[in-house]
Formats: sequence, C-alpha cells, structure tokens
Amino acid sequence: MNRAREALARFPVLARCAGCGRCLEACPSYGISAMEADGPRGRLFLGLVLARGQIQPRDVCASFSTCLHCGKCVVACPMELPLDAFFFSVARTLRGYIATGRRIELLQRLLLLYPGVVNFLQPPLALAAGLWSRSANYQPFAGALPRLPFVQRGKSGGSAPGRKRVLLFMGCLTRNLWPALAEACVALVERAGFVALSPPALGCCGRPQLVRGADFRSGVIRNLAVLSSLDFQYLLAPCPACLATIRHIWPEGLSGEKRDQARKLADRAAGFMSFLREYKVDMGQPGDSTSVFWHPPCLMEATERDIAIGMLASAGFTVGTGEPADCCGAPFACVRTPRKARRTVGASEKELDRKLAGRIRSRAMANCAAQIVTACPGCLLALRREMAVANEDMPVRHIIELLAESLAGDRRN
Amino acid sequence: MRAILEEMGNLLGPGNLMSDHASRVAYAHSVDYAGVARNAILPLAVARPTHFGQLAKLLQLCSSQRLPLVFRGNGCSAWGRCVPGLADSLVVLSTGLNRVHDVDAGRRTVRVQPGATCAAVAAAAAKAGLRFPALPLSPGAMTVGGLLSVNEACACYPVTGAPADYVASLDVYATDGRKIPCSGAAGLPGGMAARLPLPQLFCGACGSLGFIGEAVLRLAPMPRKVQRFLWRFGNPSDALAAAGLCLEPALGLAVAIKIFDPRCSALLAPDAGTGAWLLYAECLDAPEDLEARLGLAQRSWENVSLGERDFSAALACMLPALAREHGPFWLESLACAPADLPILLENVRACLSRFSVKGAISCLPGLARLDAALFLEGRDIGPLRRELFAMELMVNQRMEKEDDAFVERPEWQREHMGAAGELMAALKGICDPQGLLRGQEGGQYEQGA
Repeated sequence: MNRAREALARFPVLARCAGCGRCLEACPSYGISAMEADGPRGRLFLGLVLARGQIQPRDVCASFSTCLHCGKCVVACPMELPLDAFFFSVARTLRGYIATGRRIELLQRLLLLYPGVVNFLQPPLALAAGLWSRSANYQPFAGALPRLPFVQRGKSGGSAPGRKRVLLFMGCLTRNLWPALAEACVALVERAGFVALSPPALGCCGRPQLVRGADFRSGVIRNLAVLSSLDFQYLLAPCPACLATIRHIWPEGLSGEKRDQARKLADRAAGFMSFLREYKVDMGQPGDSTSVFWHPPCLMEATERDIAIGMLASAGFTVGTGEPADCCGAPFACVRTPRKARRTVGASEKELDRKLAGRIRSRAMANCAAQIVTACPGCLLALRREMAVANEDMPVRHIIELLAESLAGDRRN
Repeated sequence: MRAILEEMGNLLGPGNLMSDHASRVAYAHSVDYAGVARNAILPLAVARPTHFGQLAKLLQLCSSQRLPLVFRGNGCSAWGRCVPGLADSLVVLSTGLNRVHDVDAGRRTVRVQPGATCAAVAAAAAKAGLRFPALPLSPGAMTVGGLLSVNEACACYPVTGAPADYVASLDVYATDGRKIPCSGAAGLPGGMAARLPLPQLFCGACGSLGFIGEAVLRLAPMPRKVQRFLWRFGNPSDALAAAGLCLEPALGLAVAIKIFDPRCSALLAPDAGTGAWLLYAECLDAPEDLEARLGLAQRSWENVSLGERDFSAALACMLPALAREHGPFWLESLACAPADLPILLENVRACLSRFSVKGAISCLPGLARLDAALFLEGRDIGPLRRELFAMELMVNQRMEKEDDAFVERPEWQREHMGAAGELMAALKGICDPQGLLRGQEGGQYEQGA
C-alpha cells in the first residue's frame, strides 16, 4: 500500500490542474451522475488525497470503479495532464477494493494466461450462453448458431512466399464472441494483398486486468513471446482498446529487453482504418443513402474516426453522430465495486452502464438511423445487449463487417 | 446532526443528499489543489435540490439550525467561495436545477435555471438562430448560476460587456428561503432606492448574497462567422499598435482582443518562442483581408497557427495558473469603442499615477462591487471597463520595467467603494441576515503551504 501511495505521489505535475472543468464536459460517467466524485477532477483530487494518506481506499474505490478509463479527459485537458496514467496508478493502489466477481476474474485470468483453455471451452460455453441468454432475453449471437472461436485461420503465416504479412490481434471479444468479425478482418487484410496471421496462442491484451489494478505483465510477456517468433509488417486489431494497450501500455509496463520488444511491436501497430486507406480498401458499391448512427469507440484515435466517417459517407450512408462524451459503458464489464465498499448514494456501475448504453440507443433512435455502426467489439457487446434488453431490433455492426460485406457484394457482381 | 441530515434526506429524496466521506472530500476543493487540498474544510453534507420548492425548504431548515451554507455549481470558478470556509457547512448544488426553458426568439431571451450549463444555453439559443455572447471559457462545465455569480467576462469570445449585462431578470433566494425577484429597475427590498438594475448587484457577488435562481438572459443574433487569430510580435509596441488597429471604426469589427506578455506566451503557445508578445483576436464577421487591412505586414508580426489545439481551452487554464505563479495581476480585456482609445490611454496614465499597477488590477473579484460604487456615484459602467482595458494594454509594458509593490486589495477597495460598501452591507442584511454564507475565499491566489 505504501509503495502504491509513493507511486501516486510521483505525479507532481497534477498540481497544475487549473480546475477549469473541461474534463467534466468530456467524462461519460460525470455526464450521467453529475457528481464531483464521478468526474476526472474529483477523482484527481481524491487520488491525491489518497496518496497523502488522508482518506481510506474503501472510501474512494466506488468513485474509481465508475471510471471508464476511456481517455476522454486526457484529450480534453488543456494542461495535457497524464490523467490516464494517474488513474491506472490509483487502480493499482486500490487493488482488492475494485474487483470483479470471482467467475469473471477467473475467466479474465484464463484469457490472459491460458487462451488455449478458453478456446477449448468456448463451444460448450457458447451453447450454454445461448441457452441462458434466451431466458434472459439477451441473445449475443442474435439467433445465429453459436460459432466456434476464431482459431482456424492463419496459424503459422500461410504459404504465400513473397507476400507481406499482417498480424491480427483479435482480442478476447472478437475471437470468442464475434467470430464473424474476425472473418471479416481476415477478408479485408487479404483484399489489401497481405497474408493474415492470427495465432491461437495469443491471449488477452491485459486491459481488463489493468483497469482492476491487477498485474497484467505476465500475460503480456507470454504474448510477446508468441509475437516475437513471427514475421509480419503490421499489427492490426479490430478493437481500439487492444490497439491502445499494445501501443502505449505494453512498453510502459515492462522493463529491459521486454520493453524494447514491446516498443518495436508498438511501432508496427497501426490503426485498421489507416491501413485500409493506405492500401486502398474502401467500401464497395455505394449505399442506398441509409441513415446510420456512428458511435466512435472511446479509445479510437481521432484520425481513425475521421477515416471511418469518410468511408461511410463516401459509400453513400447518411451518418449521424452523438455527443463527444458518449460512451457505451462496455468498460464497466471489467469492474464492480465489492458490496462492502459501495456508495450509498450515486449510481452503481450497473446503473451507469445501462444509462450510458441507453443514451446512445436513444440518440440513434432520434436520428432515425437504420443501424448503429461502431468500431469496437466491446461497443458491439454493450450496444447489442442494450438493444436486446430494450426489445429494439436496430442492428449494431462493426464497420469492418460492413466493409467486408460491401466488398463481397462487389466481387459477386 | 443526524436528525437534521435525515430530515434533509427525506426532503430531497434518495441520491440527492451526499454525506459519504468521498463526496464530502470531493466537494471540499475547487481550483487550487496545492493550497486548498491541504487546508480543505469538509462540509457536513452536499445537497442537490431538484426544484425550487425543495431549495426554499432546505434553506429554511438550514436557517432554523444556523447551518453555514456554501452555494456551488460545477466548481469552475477561480474566485473561490464554492468550498466551505467553516466546518459543518452544507454545500448546496445548483446542478439539480438545470432546465433551459424555451427561447423567446421574438424578444431574444431565454429563461434558465442556475444549474444549466452555459453550453446548454448556447445550444438552445443556436436552435433559434441566436447566441449567448457572454459564454465562459468552459461553457460545458460552467453553470449559468456560477457564471452570474462571478460575472466573469471571457475575453476569448466576442463580448460587449459582462454576463450581468445580459440579465434581463433574476430571482435570488435568501438564506432563509425567501425568493427575491430582481427584475429590471425594481427597487431594492426593504424600500432602498437604487439607480441601477437590481440583478446586476447580485452578479459578481460570488455567492455571498444568496442563491441565484432562475434568470432570463438576453441573447444576440448569430454572426455569420467567427474567426480567431493569434499573432506574434517581437515587441510590445507593435502588439499594441495592432490591437489599436483592430478597434478602428472603419473596420467595424466586433472584436475581443487580448495581449499576452512573454511569460504567458510559453504557456499558451509553446511554439511562439521566448520573448514573443502574442495578440489574440476573436472577430465576428471580419473581412476576408483583415490581416492585410490591418497592415500587419509592415510590423514585426507572424501568424501563429492555432493548429489542432483548442486555444480557448488553454486560455481557460491561464488565469488561475498564472495567478498562482505571478500573483493576481491579470485582467479581462473587453471590447470598447474605437474612438475611446486615446482617452483610454490617457486615463490609464492617470490611474497608474494613483496606485500601483498590480494593486489597480487586482480588483477583479470586487469588480461587481466597484460597478455598484460607480453607479451610485452616477458614473456609467462603460468608461470604467474601457479604462481597465487600456490599463491592461499599458500593463504589459510597465510590468517589464517596474516591479510595483502590491497594494492590498482591501485598502484599495475601501478607498473606492464608498457608498457601495453601505449598499452591499444592506443587501447582505436582507439576503443573509444570519451570515450563513461562509464560502472560502482567496485560496486560489495562495501558494500551497
């Protein structure tokens, strides 16, 4: 605990906070609750007070469990304070106070360290989930048969000598929940003239553990061991959170030779939209002016968002957007405050989760959109669940799936 | 005390009374972490009324129990008074009273509750093709009540005055729960006569005179375009000359301009280099060839690209950050009539001869009170603001040459408030007879201990 507090105290730059409140405007959880302790400025102050030992962890953990780690406050801060790094540091300090349920924690550790075990267990789990979800009116597979996890393709690099290769870091959700998205990623990479690699031994990027303050380095080191044995030019990920973690968190969380490996890997990590534009993979036939509601994932970079909107617009879609502070609430899947430390006032993570997703659903309906388009499998999970719970049938699609479908339509024609 | 909290909780409803430790700590701070964090006084609880009936009853309850009160919006003010100055205070938030009623496009007004953000007001006005000119630098965070409480005009937006100038009518709640309507030129409560519109007396009082309730704000037509410029000059003379040119009547610009000395340049525009004087101008409906018409090419100027950085956001942080480093020396710059510039400069010289530069311009928190004083003396507000603007132009030159001793604010105010002080004391007696409003003041200018 003292070491963690010392780590917190190493952020003297945070005293430059001018209290302007720009972070409050950008924070999704503050936008729902309007409580200072649920906003970045309040969390900053609570973190500093925690570092000085003037408040107990159990008193602040509820505030930090409502932090989505979406990074919007960092973008909004005109003083360019390292808020994200500080909040991750606080999460480490609060380890044990911010936790998930035991089953989810076990699943996360399996995904991080033993992805092969998860791959083995996924089919029966998916079947069980399909049975369970029907009774709860939440059907993540939307009526389709449970699919096998995405492990069949590109295990070792393909047999196309001379062709450049792309490593697809699918991530937990794409590989296990949305295998159709994974297939679409492969199709687009091949369309760009590359060979797609997707090693089954790759585990979780570690972000869920980071959010909980748990140690994620062992899993990252295992991933590095797998990746360093492969030859590829680009690393792409259909999940912006995975990409951001690989680019920024992996190098900072490691040391020595591993850090160098992670930095070299980060240099090869590219945004999926930027890659597709670079290699001239675009929407095929123009759309029929269907109205879509674009929900940009929190951790998606601005240039990636611009390219995505440009692709949709040039394909003839009418694109509606929400507010900058919108977030689907997907990160709340990673954290829950233990009962003993829950606040008696303010919304719980579950309530905030529903309200955040509900807000996006309302905006999309108000826009008269035919579908919601996003670029993150986590957002797919949160928004599809919201639609199911609200008994709405508006589709929620990943832009990569739309791209792959349009190109497939082109080929057929 | 537990019984009082229980009664408040029943009154406000679930989730609107926060007495957990984290919430009390979170609301014990405002802007200055280094100072206030060490000296934070925890409130008893934080209350968030959701309608004015609740607010009135809450204030009655606090009055009966003589609980100290602090009124707070989103805590964006650099002037303090939204954190407790006494233990066992109740922080009353306005964020639960956040409705923006329909815009009256014909009269160009909008009725708003104090917890509505300025951005929400701007959005409502924009739908009707209007704008709220006195937007602050953080419109998405600052509430209307907070804006009127500090009456702080933002130099980054074209303004022709302070937020108080855009208040058509205002309700204020006294600490005993009475609603005091202040519309137009109504007389003061208690029969006191006043030669100035009553709402403006409460604006700028920083929460020391009651809880600002609903306000009717005046709106202005939307300009066709707003342009922002940031020019770099090698010397202050060129910067001042360019500022003067911006105010030439031939150009007919509605403009807000601000000059930053080299100490600010590094903070605001790191690529401007050291020793640079920056002139920031925000113009409504400026001509396309503005820079050519200003003759800037003949001066040692250079256009500094704003790039992707949100410059207004950087300016939002400038005031408290610089105040911590350099002391309370900064001023807002306000648009003024171009023909007044020579008069301004003359007035500035006169002002400078009467009191020190730093002391003269340390009056911002008391600007509203000074306004009141001048009204009582029969002087129009406009010339004062113009004087202060020109003073700022001169300050940049003086600061480099002199190191004037700081004149204590209270002495200066005592010298100039005069009858205004009596007026404010009378208002205080009406609105806060028990002296319950005890927000902490001044912490933003003190270095951390």
